[in-house]
Amino acid sequence: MTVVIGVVAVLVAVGFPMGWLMTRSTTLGLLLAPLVTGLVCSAAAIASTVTGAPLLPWVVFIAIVGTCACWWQEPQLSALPIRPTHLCGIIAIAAPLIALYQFTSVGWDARSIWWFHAEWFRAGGAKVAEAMTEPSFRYSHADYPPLASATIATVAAVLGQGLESRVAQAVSFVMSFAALILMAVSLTWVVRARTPLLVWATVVVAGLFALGAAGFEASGLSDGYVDNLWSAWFVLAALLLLLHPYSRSAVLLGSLALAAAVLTKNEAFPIALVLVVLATIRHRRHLRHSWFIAIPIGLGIVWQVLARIEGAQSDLQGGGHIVGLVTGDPAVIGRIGPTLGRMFADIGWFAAASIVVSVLGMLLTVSVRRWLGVGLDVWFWALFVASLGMLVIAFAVSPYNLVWHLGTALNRTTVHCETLLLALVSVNLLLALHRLLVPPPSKPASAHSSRSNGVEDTSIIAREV
Amino acid sequence: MGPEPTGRKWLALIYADPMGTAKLDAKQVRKRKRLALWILVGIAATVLTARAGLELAFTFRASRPGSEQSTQAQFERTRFVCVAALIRDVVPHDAAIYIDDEQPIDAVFWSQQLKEMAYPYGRLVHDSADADFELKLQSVPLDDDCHGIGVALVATR
Repeated sequence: MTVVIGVVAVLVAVGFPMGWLMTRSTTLGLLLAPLVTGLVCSAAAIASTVTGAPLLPWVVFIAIVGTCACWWQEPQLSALPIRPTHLCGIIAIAAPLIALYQFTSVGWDARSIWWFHAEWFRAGGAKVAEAMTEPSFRYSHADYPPLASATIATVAAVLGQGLESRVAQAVSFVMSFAALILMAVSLTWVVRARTPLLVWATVVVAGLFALGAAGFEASGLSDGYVDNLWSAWFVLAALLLLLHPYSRSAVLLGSLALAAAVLTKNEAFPIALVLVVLATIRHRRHLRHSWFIAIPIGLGIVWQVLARIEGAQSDLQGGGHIVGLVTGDPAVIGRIGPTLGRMFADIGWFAAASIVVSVLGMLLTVSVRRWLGVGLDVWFWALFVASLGMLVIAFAVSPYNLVWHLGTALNRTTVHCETLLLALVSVNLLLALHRLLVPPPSKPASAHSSRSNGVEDTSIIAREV
Repeated sequence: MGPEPTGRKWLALIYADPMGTAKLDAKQVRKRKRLALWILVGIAATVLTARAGLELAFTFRASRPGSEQSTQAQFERTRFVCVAALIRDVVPHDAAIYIDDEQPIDAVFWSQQLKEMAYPYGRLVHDSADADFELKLQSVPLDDDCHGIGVALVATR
């Protein structure tokens, strides 16, 4: 327990000042702290690797510069409020996940990838560069992004301990749990409740959403893997960029969450590109005020280029069959069918149920969707299909035995796809409840225009959320 | 009353009037829409709670103390900590280390684990002639101090 308190203290100390300055809200500032800390540690890891210098001085420097920049700016996320009681309600429903932390054991990849890289970062940029070129570490995916490992390294360094597994495990759990809760809270921003009954219904649905999203790979919250972590940030970004009515605050937080996802795992990069393209199309009229939507892609490119310059190789580069896919090699094409079969067996019924909910939702909640300015489910379906397509390609060109690779990785790598579907189900459930419990407005057209023209509707939010 | 419409006639009806509300008055239409909305709420709530409850229950069951998965993981963890302690007992900081990839038990597992424990505590070299220490693991009887790791570290030089 002492370790968890120490870990929370470090994550809050680094990330809370910037979180609070961006939101002017203690509750949301605390919830954002792990995300902000992760981004600061990632930036520090990149700077440390480039300069060959130790990590911790860079973390301190970037945290101070970031805090000064946020102080100088106006609060950027003030249109996304959450009351402490509602947040406590969501956490209370998701509380069984906290109990899992006591039971879950450490996963193999946690040691051989994320915590091993944390040792590199803790030893400084020179050691990171040396490790990336070390051929005998290729099994460790030396090109994987730095967020999770650099954050673990920073916390371990600040706590003044060696890189003990209980510290690393606690960092993984606190980061993942906070990301999951932040993603659930975003439901309350997408479907803004207008009566007390609906507010508490939203809290319950958000809590179940967090619980269900973790359920796809619940041990992944605390076994040291990062699939739940990047998936939560990715779906948070998707909710804010594709379903939330346009607001600068939503686009900014969505961009920060997407940047964190991209800096957490390689798989996030191509699908983040698709999300940015979809969001750019949706918000094409507001791009002048939302240029930062491209930052996640820029950061992803920076890390990939840096890793290649330092000599790291991805497993697909090392022995993948990308050329075979392009030339139509039957051995590669033949892997697509079994991959689709396993995917269908794993998530087929859930995808079918989600399609039913989504179609019914699109037919029955048109007016309330328009009134609240909520985006169409079609955006999410496009993202889901693109995600599945990329996974199929990745398994097809993978250098590993297909049966082994699907058996060890499919559950984890489809977490973001399933979470996207669960988000759709939750949003449609809330919209239907909204339609049933709140009388429709007398002039929906004017209400819609005030929500969709980019003006922050903070007075309504402050009174009713 | 004519015969019940079948096949293509049903499809035509659904296409022309998906909600089946063309011949209903406004009150009946509202009632039918409310019913459809409650059906939507029911399906969505069932899917959400099923995912939230069932998956989590399976995870708890698999990872609770005493389960096969938990016991195996605890054993791995203990063994890992033991190997780390052994390396640090034997090898001085920043020494040049050669790791023998041909391990007697579960070669890939042990050579990976040795590398993870040795770097960056020491420097890895690829030729045993350049090494201050050569590390390999040997199968031995259970070790009382390390709760049965079943291996011992051999350092040469």
